[in-house]
Amino acid sequence: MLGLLKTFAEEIAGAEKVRFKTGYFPYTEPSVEAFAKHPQLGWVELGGAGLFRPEMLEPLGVKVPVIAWGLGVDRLAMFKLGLKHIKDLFAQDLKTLRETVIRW
Amino acid sequence: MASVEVSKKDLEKLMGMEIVIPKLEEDLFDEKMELDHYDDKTETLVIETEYDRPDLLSAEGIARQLRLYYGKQKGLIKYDFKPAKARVRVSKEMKKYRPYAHYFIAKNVRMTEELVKQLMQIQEKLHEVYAGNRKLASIGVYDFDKTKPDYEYKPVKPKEIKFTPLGETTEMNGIEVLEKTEKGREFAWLLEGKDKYPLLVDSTGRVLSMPPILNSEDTKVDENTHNLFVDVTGTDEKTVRMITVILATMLAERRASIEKVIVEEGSKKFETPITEYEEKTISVELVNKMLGLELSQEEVVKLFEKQGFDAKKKGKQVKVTIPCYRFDILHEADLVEEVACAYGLNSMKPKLPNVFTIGEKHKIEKTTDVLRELMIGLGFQEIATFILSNSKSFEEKVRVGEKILKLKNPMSEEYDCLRNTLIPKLLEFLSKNKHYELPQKVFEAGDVVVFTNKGEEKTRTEKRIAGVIISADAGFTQAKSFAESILRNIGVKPEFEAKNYDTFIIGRSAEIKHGKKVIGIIGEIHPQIITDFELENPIAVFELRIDELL
Repeated sequence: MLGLLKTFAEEIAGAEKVRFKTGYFPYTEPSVEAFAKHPQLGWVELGGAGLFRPEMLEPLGVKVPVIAWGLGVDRLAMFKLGLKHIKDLFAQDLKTLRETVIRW
Repeated sequence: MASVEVSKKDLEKLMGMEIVIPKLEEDLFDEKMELDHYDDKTETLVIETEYDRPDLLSAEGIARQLRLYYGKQKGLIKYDFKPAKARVRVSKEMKKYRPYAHYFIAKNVRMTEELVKQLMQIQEKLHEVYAGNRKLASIGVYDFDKTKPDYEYKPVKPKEIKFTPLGETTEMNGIEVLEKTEKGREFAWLLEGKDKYPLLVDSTGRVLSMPPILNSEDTKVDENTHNLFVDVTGTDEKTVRMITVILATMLAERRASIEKVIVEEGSKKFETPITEYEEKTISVELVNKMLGLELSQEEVVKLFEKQGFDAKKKGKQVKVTIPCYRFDILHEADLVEEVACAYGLNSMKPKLPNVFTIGEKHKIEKTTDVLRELMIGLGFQEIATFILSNSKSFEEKVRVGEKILKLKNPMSEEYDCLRNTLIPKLLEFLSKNKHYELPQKVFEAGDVVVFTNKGEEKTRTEKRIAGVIISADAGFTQAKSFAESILRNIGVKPEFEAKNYDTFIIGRSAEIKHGKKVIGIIGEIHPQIITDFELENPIAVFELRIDELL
């Protein structure tokens, strides 16, 4: 699970430093939150993940461990494009939009 | 998540060590906490904690967890509560009003400014997060020396209640408290329709409080208080018990001496706080399997001790004793997480799973991407707006016509409904960009929510793409040629059937169809709407339903 999260953070967001925090979600245990270091904003959360709790899987008859994760696409984009504010992605200014360079 | 404010110096004193902020920021991550920010002028930290850890809602709890993490302490902390002397008689009638009540006495409390702040903060957080805003449980703190045990907790008719509420100067009866005081008005709903109100009195008949509303001014805590009497009353036994233990251990961490209290309810007699040191067993194999590690039994034992648990080898398993202030350990999975915290997630080597599967984009995403590229090819700039919008735009300005879904409790008027078409947001965008030259061609591809009154959710989420053109010569024909162009490129030959809408100029709009399916609409925006959006040029628009194009 940590490997997957690290890959998303590094390959898509282009994060140089990734750190994990133990988290809490009602349906997963253990749970994790992945953070990446933004040059201006410090540690920014990219999303949460975890192993599904056994009582979630039992009624479905699943006997193997299940990894689940949810990452904010906006956050990943923010990192990749070097934006300081997430609302820049939802910019309402035509000139800004026309001039934003999408690096890939 | 809850935000807990603590003073750096206070935390250092409780931890018995100095704090270096950047290092603490990284270490907090291992113990389910996050440093929200540090104000170096006031030397205050704001730490975010998770919902499954009520024990971390104050400096004392955080310090305790960090002392364990940094190795200043290890193993189970067993709190030694002194034998009970004082007694509270709970009337049997309370079952109808606010049945559960737990108590304790804290002696030799040093009422520092920091402790007062932490006590107020933890009460606020516990009430808000765990006690349903006082409904399930509420806390009362009193100056023990201003009271005379033993106590009585009983329901009393509102007009027969008489005391000076906290912060007031005159005596009031129960009804007056609810009407004339700020807290009374705020929480009166908790006592609505009740013929009697709960009252806590001492042996002289002096009122300590009227739970869950307000304490009395006479027994209030101030900087001279040395001994505290604490009550937690409520309608949920588990919550009442949990809060009592958390508060008692919190004050114990401040070196106060905690004395138990006897609670008598008819023939039932028990002592509170009720602390439990539950035992559980976990297999080392399971820990390693779930975490992907190769820990030995000894290492697992040490890691549990690092988290404040007692741990012993038991065959191939480890038997642990859970601290009395932890209320989140339900199953083995929770114990595995404790090992993960102690080991440190950032000490683990991330590995990709050994699974070979093939991934593919969903058909609707592929189609949407093609349509977006075609729009860009035709010179349209893509924009992204929010799915939440304001209903005035939809109902009054653009007159969309169909039923729009509104939020029951919106945080702001700006975002009080779910969009059921992309058009109003595009018009809003144009009105924010009047200062740029024309022509302007803008599009958006995204989800809208349509009310259908069918099925479990009574709605349908649709993916749509809409383009808008504003210029001196924008018109139906121009929009039609764009729409046809992109549809032709994905192999759809559309038919245009004239149809009138309130949004468009009569005779200058149509429904776009493909066979029997309605795949979109197209038209010239009505001049009144153009003026309402403070624009001055003709606008043509089309919107396609991508789901119908697959």
